[in-house]
Amino acid sequence: MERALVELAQHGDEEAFASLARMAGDRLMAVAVRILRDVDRAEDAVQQTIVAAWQDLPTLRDPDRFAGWLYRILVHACYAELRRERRWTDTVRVLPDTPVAQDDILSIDDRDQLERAFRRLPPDQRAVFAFHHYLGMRLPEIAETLDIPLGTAKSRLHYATASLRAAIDADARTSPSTGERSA
Amino acid sequence: MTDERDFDRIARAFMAEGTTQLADRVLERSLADVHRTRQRRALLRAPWRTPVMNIYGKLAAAAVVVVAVGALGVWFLSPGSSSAPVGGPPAVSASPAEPPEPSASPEPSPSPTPPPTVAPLSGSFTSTRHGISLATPAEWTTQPATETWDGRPFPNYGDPDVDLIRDPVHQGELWLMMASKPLEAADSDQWPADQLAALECVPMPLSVDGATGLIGATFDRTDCSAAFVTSGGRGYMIRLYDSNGGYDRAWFDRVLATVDLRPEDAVD
Repeated sequence: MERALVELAQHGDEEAFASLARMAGDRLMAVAVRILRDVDRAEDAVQQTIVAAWQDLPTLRDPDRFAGWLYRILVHACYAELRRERRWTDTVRVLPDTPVAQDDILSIDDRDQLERAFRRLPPDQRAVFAFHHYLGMRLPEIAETLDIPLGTAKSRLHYATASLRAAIDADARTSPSTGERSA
Repeated sequence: MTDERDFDRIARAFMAEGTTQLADRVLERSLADVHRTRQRRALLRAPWRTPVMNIYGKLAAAAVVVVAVGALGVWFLSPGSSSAPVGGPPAVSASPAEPPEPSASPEPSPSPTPPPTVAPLSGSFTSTRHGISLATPAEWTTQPATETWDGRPFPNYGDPDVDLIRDPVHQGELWLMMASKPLEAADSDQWPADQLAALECVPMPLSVDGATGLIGATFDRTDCSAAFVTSGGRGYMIRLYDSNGGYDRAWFDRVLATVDLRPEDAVD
């Protein structure tokens, strides 16, 4: 069904495109929030993605690759948002109140450390980390979706993981309570 | 130390937090923008898979490729050719070829960021903490270290214990990083090998300012694009990070050729 809608939208059918946008909207928003850590900026990135996807849809060669193609546009919109954020402000904007998973896996200390460390990651590492740990994509799939070499995807995930692990471990060393995490 | 499975669970829990819904007003606003935006027409939409070609077609296609490559070679090698940019290989676009960055939105949109251009080494940087100086692109901005480096081989972008020199536009995607520390009990030959082993990078020997050390051989991995050398009882890390791939090993070698190690000037 998605393929048929994509083909219609490629030929200028706005209704078909609106259906595609409704189907993908939540997914795009979820990924953008995880990369940008800011709901307002994520909404901007998704809006830009939807408009850019409409504009460039006629250039998509394989309609079956629409979902990955859309993610790629989203990631570049997120990169642009982060660049704009760096140009305009040095302040850190905290995620507004959103449902937070309350469980014993993630302590408050871990969460704070991860949040700080994640915000310091370069955008490209954030994207790979979110694709892997949120969307559950494997590295070859991430590399294909983002159109980057597999080694680069692997490197970005390795680097991001090392940074975040170091943040948690540093916190565990300074706070005995976080050292009680079960194996 | 967080083990791998433990970290994966924590990472998944961390990523599970936050909204998963796009507000209706954003969707409606986006679709209103779509309504006001014209689609780009594909000038030539090639089929995703190449159609089956007979032998004559293949020969003709091969001949065209040979002629084109030959012509390109002649043009490239001709004395008047100005194709090679100053200081290194052609720039690689930060964007994928297929989807251009979002461009025409009726609301104010971010100005498009140009792709990284390989910059000439016309500036310089002298570290006041780590005892090293080197040539850098003049327009890159610096963030000198303010703390002592603890020796971890993959510091974060922006950490206070490393000198950071970054491209002003691409910032977190394109930077040089330097740090040094006393070797103390570590063996000066073993220390570079230990750093690269921690990063799971294949080591390759190199010399920087007369000091011997190792560099990651698999330079397409951003965590391996780092040189580790020892001089005057100190271990030095010099790292290039370029997530877009426009700055290659040859460019980094030119940077390393300008390095002046001054262990006696380092402050711990």
